[in-house]
Amino acid sequence: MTELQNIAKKLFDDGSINLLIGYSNNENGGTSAIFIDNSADIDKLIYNENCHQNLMVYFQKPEVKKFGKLAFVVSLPGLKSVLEIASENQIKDGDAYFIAIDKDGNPSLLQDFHQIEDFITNNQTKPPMGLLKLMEKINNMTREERWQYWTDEFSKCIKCYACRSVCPLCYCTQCITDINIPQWISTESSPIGNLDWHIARAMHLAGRCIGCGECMKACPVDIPLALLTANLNKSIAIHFGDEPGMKADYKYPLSHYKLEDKENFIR
Amino acid sequence: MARIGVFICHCGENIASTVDCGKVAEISSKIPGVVFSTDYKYMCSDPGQTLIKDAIKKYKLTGVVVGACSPRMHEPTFRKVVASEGINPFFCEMANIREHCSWVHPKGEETTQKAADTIRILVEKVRNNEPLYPIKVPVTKRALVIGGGIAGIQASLDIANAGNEVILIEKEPSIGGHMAQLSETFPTLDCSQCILTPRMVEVAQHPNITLMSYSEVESLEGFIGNFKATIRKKARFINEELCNGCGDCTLKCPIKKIPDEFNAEMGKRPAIYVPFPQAVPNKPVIDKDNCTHFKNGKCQFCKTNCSAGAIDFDQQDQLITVDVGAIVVATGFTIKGTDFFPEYGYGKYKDVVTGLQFERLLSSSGPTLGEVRRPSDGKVPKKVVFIACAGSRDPAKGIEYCSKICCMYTAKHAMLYKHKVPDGEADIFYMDIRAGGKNYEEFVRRAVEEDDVNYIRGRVSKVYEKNGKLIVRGVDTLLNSTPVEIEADMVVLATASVAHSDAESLAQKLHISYDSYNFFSEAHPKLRPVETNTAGITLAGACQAPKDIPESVAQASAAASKTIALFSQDLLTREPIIAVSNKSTCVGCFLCQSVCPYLAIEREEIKDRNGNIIKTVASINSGLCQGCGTCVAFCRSKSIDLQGYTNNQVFSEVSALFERSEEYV
Amino acid sequence: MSEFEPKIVAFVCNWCTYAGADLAGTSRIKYAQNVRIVRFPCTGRIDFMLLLKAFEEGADGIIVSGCHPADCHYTSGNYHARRRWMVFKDLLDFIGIDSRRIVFSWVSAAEGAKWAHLVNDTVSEIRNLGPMKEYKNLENVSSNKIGELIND
Ligand code: SF4
Ligand code: SF4
Ligand code: FES
Repeated sequence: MTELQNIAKKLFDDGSINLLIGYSNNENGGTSAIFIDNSADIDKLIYNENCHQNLMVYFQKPEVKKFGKLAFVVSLPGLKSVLEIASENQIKDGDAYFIAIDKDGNPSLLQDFHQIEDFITNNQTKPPMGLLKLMEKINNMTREERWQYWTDEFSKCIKCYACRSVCPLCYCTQCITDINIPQWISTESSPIGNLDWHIARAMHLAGRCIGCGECMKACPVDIPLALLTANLNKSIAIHFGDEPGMKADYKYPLSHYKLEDKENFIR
Repeated sequence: MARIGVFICHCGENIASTVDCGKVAEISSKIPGVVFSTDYKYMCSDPGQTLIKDAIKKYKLTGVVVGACSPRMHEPTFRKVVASEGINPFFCEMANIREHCSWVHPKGEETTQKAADTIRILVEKVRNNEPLYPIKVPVTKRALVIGGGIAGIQASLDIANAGNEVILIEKEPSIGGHMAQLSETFPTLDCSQCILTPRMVEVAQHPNITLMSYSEVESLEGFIGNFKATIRKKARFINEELCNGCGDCTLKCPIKKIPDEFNAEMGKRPAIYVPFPQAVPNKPVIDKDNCTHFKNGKCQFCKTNCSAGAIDFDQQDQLITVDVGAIVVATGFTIKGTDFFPEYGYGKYKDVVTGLQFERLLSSSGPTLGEVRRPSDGKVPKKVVFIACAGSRDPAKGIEYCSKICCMYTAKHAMLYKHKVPDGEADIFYMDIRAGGKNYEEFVRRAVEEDDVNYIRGRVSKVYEKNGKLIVRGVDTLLNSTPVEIEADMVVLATASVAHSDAESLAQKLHISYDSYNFFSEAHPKLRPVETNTAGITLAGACQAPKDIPESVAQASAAASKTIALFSQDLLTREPIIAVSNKSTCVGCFLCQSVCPYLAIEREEIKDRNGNIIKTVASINSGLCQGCGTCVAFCRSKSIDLQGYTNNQVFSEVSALFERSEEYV
Repeated sequence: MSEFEPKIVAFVCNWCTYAGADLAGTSRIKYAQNVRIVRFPCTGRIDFMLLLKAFEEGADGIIVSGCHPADCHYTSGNYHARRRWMVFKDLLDFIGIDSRRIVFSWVSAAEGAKWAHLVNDTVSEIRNLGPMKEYKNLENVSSNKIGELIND
């Protein structure tokens, strides 16, 4: 039995949890989420570099919540989303156990936010080079090129909302796209509707996105969505010095202010 | 289906000279849903109003747009007109085609087009309006006055005399505040205690006033008309019911040498004490930190000597919750001590004192019974130097403001000193003499002309001790900055008036705003100088900024009148322009909570039939919300909306921005 | 061809800028006709979605204006708005929408002249930038590229 399975088994054996959400191999040779509700299934639990899905997305699902005592297998981004939703009043200390996978792939059991905060500080990784390069490339384009780039990208959008459903922070019961009085965003996948959706989505995640990149991986037409929020987070860090997902008592930068906030863009 | 009427006003020539009003009415008539549209010379005049009323009846209008002047001018007028015909007044909107159009643009098609566009935008708003009703909030007709100095006393008496209940709380054992410590007051030199103590007694005896001394605010919840205040009544270790105020206990206490706060530490007091003879209430308090019994369990002399059996060493702090409808904050100020000034000896020279200490030396109830004797050796000082602006108006010391009262009391101090020591000399170092106020300038002149007080314009750079004298070094800026050195027997510093050290935490408990010096902020510096930004809470006296007695009293009466006006109604009526939350869609992220300046967003637990919490959602307290809408724009899931400016309304307005009128032609 | 006349919409707060524009009127200060004003209680109420909507409706430029810092009728709506705009502007820049088309300004109830200047300046600046082609062109990009995608 692997160390990961050992930890999981112990949680079941001493009655700490009723449901564990982790990864297992799937028939396509990849990995997918597995929901284990009794210790007999534990041998299916695995962790390897293909296990990228942010399983915290399941935390708010009523089907999961009804199990009561939960445990999640999470790596760095997952843990960041735990802290982020903690700061958004969606999870309380002690609501779940976290089997954290560190950068060398070793599991350890984390039980409170404090431990998670420490873990994150000790396991910081750089954002993927590819993303940074692309971001830089776009930032170096002329405005017209940027517009062309994004209209091209957005025009591919089929409004499937896969990005929304894999995002651990898109937990609203009513998304702005689902509102029809007023119809903030046109429902069809029209160029304007797509643009509105992606701007709204990015704004709603500005300063909240913890950069797991799931949206981008889920997008069937490969729009580099995570760039939008990553770039916004970069400006937020520059303007306000805040970074989401680092602390459970994070103060959301867009609902706080400082008197001395920059305003050189205001006449 | 909406049936909207559009009424275009010519405003005499004011609109009609640049806007083709008839054309605007005609264009408007083609907007879907507009069933009647007309123009008229003066819409706000009687015939104009009648025209609107008749049209409402005749065309069964459900909404009205008046294209005229600014809504800031006549919105109430036209809403009343509409209401008189039985339409909810919020179905009337004004399109500003005068200030925003006819007055700022030349005559011509473009200007007419702009007027027509403006009408169309507002028609879309009216189409999406919903009936709104004024919000009625019950009012608890009981006021809480925090602070029993002259401001708090005045406010309490005014409110109580108007027939309302008042709870006056004071953190010290007695009310009276700084005014009780003063000897005589400028500019009349009447005895401070003589005018104050009758007021204190009146407070104690007033049937409408409940006095809670030695008490502080622990917490505050609620909103205008409906506050719930928790008050900590600190243990004074005396059963106030039993105590008859004879004072025997204070005479028997073996501890006698505690610096006396009331005398600004110029005198001594026992561990069980009444702060001053005229204290209200006249009940002692045990200073736990200095009492032998509390230190080592022995003594109890006071207890054995109390014939009333009122000493109670087991007394505990009590938390008392009261419902009040309004709050007057009158917590006053304090002053910097001599230890704030390294250049004047950091408080280590006994004969360098603050103005308040000097005040006690002048007072006939003070430690020297009104004889001016210096603290170090009890001798009568023959030369006293007064330093005005000690700490005030001094950016280097972090206090940039003027403490306002020092110029006047320093003149008074010098004068009173000269009255008591006619052969003494009084020198005053000053920056400017600020004597604005009724009879103030004359008072200062008297000090100079009749009492020979010597004013030296300049700052004092250093005070130090040499052979039993205090050497004061400064410059006279009126004499080309000539250095001046004076050998003085005593130095009096008019130290800066500052906010209490607990002012910030009190402001946070009360949710009122405060400035960088921790003085409490008024809602508007000119037009709402006594209200705070939190409805129902007003300010009186020096907790807002340094003030003298007449100003504090005036502000206290003003705060009282605001309170009385509030209490004159059984129900408080508020404009319904407030936010409402949608509890079914709110996911309870509470990121919105911190944007509300009025803390109106509360957490509400939604429970199932068995009482289990299903979720926690945002709920807007309609008593607190002022309708800024910041939370509305903020909420991602649009789970809050602002009545009167709903998402649907503003969205429709924006959708109507640039439709070309040709569409209707 | 006559000069391009930009369409400008102004989102203003009721207490300062709306009143400032009133003052421009009472003082008879003339300014360009291109602007349409939408009144909000406070800048804090102004949703970024409305700015997008305005562009969609054909606005070439947008003025967003309210009380100066420390003057907001509700004490802090403008501070929250200020942060929101800062972030929104950066997003538009990143996407390639010319953020110069949105002009932010504090105009107090006493600044009628500032209001008039603001409108005039905005009109001439936007006139120089030319029509907001981006959104208009979007309407013409009728079908999206899904077709191509499926084909290859
Ligand atoms: S109202 Fe909106 S912002 Fe506030 S808690 Fe609910 S979902 Fe969050
Ligand atoms: S509208 Fe303004 S005052 Fe009212 S709850 Fe929202 S933020 Fe608070
Ligand atoms: S009221 Fe003008 S910005 Fe808030």
